[in-house]
Amino acid sequence: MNTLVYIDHFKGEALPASWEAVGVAKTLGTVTGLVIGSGLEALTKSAFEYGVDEILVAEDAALTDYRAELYASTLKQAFSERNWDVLFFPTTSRGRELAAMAAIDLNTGVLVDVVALEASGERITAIRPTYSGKVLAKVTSSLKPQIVTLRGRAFPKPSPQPGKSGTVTKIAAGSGALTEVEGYSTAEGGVSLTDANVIVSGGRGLAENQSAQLPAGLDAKQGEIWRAQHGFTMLKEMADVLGGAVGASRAAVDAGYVPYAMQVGQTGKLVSPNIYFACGISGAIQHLAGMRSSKLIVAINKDPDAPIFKLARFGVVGDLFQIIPALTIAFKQRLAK
Amino acid sequence: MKLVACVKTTPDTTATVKVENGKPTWGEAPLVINPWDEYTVEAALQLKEANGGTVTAISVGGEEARIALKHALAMGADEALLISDPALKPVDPQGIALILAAVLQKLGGVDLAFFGRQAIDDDSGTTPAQAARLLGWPALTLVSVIKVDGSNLRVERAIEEGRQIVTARLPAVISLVKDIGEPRYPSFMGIRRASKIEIPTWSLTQIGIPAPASVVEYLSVMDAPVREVVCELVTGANPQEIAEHLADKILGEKLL
Amino acid sequence: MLTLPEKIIFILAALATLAAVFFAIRRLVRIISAGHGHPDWKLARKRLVNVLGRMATFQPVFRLRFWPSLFHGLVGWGFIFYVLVNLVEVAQGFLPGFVIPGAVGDVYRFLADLSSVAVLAGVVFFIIRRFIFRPSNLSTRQTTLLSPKARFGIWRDSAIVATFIILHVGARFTGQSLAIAAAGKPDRWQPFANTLAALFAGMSPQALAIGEHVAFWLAIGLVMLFMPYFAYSKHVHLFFAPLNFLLKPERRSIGELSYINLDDNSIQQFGAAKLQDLGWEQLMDAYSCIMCFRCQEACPAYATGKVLSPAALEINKRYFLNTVHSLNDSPALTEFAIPAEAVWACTSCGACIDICPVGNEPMRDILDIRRNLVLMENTFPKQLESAFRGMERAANPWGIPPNERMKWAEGLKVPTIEHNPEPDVLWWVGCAPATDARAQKTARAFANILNTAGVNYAVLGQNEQCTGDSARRAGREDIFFGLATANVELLNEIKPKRIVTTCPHCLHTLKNEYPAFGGNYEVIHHTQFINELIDSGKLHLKPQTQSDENHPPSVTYHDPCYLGRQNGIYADPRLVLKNACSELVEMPRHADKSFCCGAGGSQMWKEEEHGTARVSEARVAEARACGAEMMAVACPFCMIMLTDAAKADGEDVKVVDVAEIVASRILD
Repeated sequence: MNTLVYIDHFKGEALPASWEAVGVAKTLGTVTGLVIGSGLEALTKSAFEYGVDEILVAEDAALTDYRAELYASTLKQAFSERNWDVLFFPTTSRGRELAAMAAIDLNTGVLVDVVALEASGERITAIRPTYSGKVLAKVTSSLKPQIVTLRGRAFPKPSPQPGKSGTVTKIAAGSGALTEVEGYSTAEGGVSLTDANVIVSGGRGLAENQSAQLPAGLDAKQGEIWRAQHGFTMLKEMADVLGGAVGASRAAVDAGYVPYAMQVGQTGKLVSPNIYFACGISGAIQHLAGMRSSKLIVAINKDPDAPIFKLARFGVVGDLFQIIPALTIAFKQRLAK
Repeated sequence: MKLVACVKTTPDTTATVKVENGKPTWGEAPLVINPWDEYTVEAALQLKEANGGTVTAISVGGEEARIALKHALAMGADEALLISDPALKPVDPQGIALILAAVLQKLGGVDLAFFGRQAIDDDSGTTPAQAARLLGWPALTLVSVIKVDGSNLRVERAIEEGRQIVTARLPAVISLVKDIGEPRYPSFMGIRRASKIEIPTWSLTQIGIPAPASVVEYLSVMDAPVREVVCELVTGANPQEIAEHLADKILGEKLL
Repeated sequence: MLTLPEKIIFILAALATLAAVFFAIRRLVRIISAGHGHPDWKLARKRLVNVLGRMATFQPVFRLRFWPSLFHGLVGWGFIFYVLVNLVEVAQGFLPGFVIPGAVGDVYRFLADLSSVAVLAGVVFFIIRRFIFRPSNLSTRQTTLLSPKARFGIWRDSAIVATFIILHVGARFTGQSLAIAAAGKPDRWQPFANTLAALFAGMSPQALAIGEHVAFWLAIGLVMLFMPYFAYSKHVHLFFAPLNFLLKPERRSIGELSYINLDDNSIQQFGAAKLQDLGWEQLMDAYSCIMCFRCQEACPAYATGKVLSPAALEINKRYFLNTVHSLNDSPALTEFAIPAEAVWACTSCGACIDICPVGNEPMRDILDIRRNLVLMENTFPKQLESAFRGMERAANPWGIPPNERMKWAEGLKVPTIEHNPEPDVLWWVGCAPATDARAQKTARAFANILNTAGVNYAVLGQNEQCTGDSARRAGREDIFFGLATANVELLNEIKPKRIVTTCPHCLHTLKNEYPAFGGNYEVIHHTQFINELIDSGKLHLKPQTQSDENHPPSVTYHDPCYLGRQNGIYADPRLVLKNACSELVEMPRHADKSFCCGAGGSQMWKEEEHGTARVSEARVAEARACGAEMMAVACPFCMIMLTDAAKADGEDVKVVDVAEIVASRILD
């Protein structure tokens, strides 16, 4: 089969999920990569290294910023000259949107956010999660081309082969932009608790780091708060590595360690991240009510009887002041690749 | 301003969904407004408060669709519209986009169509972009801040890398993320008012389109492999080892 | 004794007084009738004897503040007798030579003399107490919303009344002394007046006579002057307190709230936004209030620094009503009577209602105001949203879905109603014991007890829904209505012979509030049931032996508000503890005076309003102070609140349910 893979990138830097898509495409046949934007030489080079056979490049100043209608039209235009059997997109904010529009433009269907697929003959059958992942649906489409968006981290990333290259074909930019991009900003104050995909939460246990050096002149209560805030800084470091936010249990807020805005629980914020780290949190029902719908709960607590372990998928009974820094390093190493 | 909020009825997020007789079922768990759509309606109401106008809630479905519409009315939407037709069982997200695009055309004079970022049953998240494409309107998805001045729209979109600030001209399609603000809790008086409002129904003939062909075939459904939440205690000789094991296991869940 | 001109003046003055009193009464009646509903006079007939007894003994007053109550008794009993005295005085004024003859007369004069001195002694005590010692429990903190007229107004009212009493009684007493002096010989039936008479020994007869007339006019004239003043004074409690006790609508318990038919589309106003939304009895409360601040003293919210004062609520109502002739155009209650923050600080413990010596019910006003805030104005603490949502969608304020409702029973044999459709007793577990990890231990302990005793019981299992207590106490009558209707339908189908419950809030709601929905059930608490099992020999507990823990922990029992004060169950849990060989030590505030744990009134679901301490922590401190190492509770909310508070304070006080103590002592 001939496949076209949309290489999603931001300012010329690819999102890893794009390479995973290339990996999947390679198992089906020849892979054409599509890159749209400006300043794309490095991206084009990487694409070949990750296994793309040929690349279509639409490079234009007008394409510097992602604009849905413009990119979709560019894609549609590429299709007016050639055909591919399958279109792959990574399920990113841009990938999902473009795939959706492509389905309309090309009068076909789209299999969204697929986690597994197989091809028999010319037909792709895929598995996609529904009901927040509780039910898996086996889907296919009889329309051509077949458009599939692939969930990030569901497929392996191929190993790059440095020095590999291939044909580059320039294509024209599409038209019909309906928007203007004014600029970008990083979300203020980091990721918001309710929107975060990862939350690292701390409880009363955060004040118990005996080895932290207290500055002079603090009384018992101030010392406790200082220690706790020190502990929360440690949590923030891990949260930053994971692109997440820091939360707290009511006990930590009541004790004055952190502000109420960080409280997760019945009387605080209700969150449902992909991963919830409960550090030094015992797991009272009011707290659980705030985070029990998290997809994956990891508990780190020195008390083996803490109720949180009943709800956690992974647990560590240990000193969180040793585990969290080590975990931060472990994640940093693994996610940097 | 003429604002339209497109909403859907889904099972509650806490529902235990299992596959029975080849179909997903959720037992006695209640059907509620798609949680993302609470933000949809909230965004529309906020804009109505800022710029004036009306908010109409629309939904495609059977009688269960009234649940989402009643919730929207209880939050403060001015009116609601149900699109229902026996030929629409079943209908896939792309078909919904087709129908909604036709309805938005037929309503006429719509300035903004609001969508939730996805419905928690199907989880496709493609309907807003597709409806926009069919209408030829700009699609502004994953929006967290909205400002309208005359017919100029300015939004902030939540993308992986932070926020993208985009402008467009009305009419447009917007899909919302949670940062738009806490959805207002439907007041008792709102609920009471909503229970008394007659919601008109449009069929496909009234809209003037045929039933959309299905473009995706659902061959089968199955329960996600549920590991009993037996907590797996991760151990090791020292904190570093424990951390490495734990990081690997977590990454193995493929949620990052 | 009076001259003709005096008699004429007297009659004219009396007529003027009567007219003024008539208009005053008419105004009060009009105001009170503007409230919803009407009094049921049949109740008055039924209660007459009981109320007379309680008024005569001042029993409600003696429940708090012994010494002031005693001196109030002196004043009160004295004044009751003074009704007769004043009549006799007037008779003596108009009918020359009128005396009560013989032994009766002697006794009369003796009692009158005694009464005079008693009243004067009492008033002097009160003057010293209020104006010189100025105890803080006779006023409220500056942070409490109190009508600006009230702070000085109460002082002034007290001063006027004190002056009136001193002058009125003093004048009459002096008059008697003058009469004795004029008669020339002491009256041994008036020992105190005799003493004063000695002072007047040297006066001329004319001076004495003038003195007597002056005394008469001071005494009786002041009464006539004072009577119209009553309508604006807290002293009018003389009439309204008995009326309050006679006419208060019947309630199954202190906290049984009024029924609202949510299906009635004609209802325009839910709850109380303004005075005219209150019931007639709530308006009468304002007139009964003697501004003694006992309710404030008993209030756990006030005790922990919140801005809530039930006393201020009633006083503010009264001071507002003093200025108007009708209830039209009255401002919102949350503007002048009680601020929203105070409304949301209430734990609905009922202590204010229980302790009020004149039968007021400030808690009902607060909960009615909540209904308005929540249903009509949609303004309420945001944290309650998740509890509301949980009850709406999962029939459980924690939001735990029904299919997880029996998780607490894993590993135990607990028959559900499907397996045992005709049990001897239906065990209503309650959301808290089913859901909260700590309270689940209570449920497991009780299941253990039931199984060991071979009881034929069943639980509703996944069909058990929240009784709606938290919704109702927070003002969400609509959620409560839905849950109550559904629960009553289910229970009426099942027709349980008896219901035993491990949660006093459920007990209260099922027993006292479901009848309004057509559900009439016999509901008992698990401690009562345990006693039954012990009494009937079905449950045997280990006896205390020498070799028992050398030092069994000293246990104090914390009376849950919804079990004790609101449903009168004090003895049963204590009996159970005694049977389970616990060394009981009582906290100062126990039984009906128990201090709330802080969870009631939907406080469980929100952070406490701003104050100086947590209600729960104050209670644990009280337990610790009385030397208890263990707090025995009988309510899962108390369990949760007190466990958290004990943990925050260093964990030296253990909190266990009575059922757990029993289960640990089962003889197997």
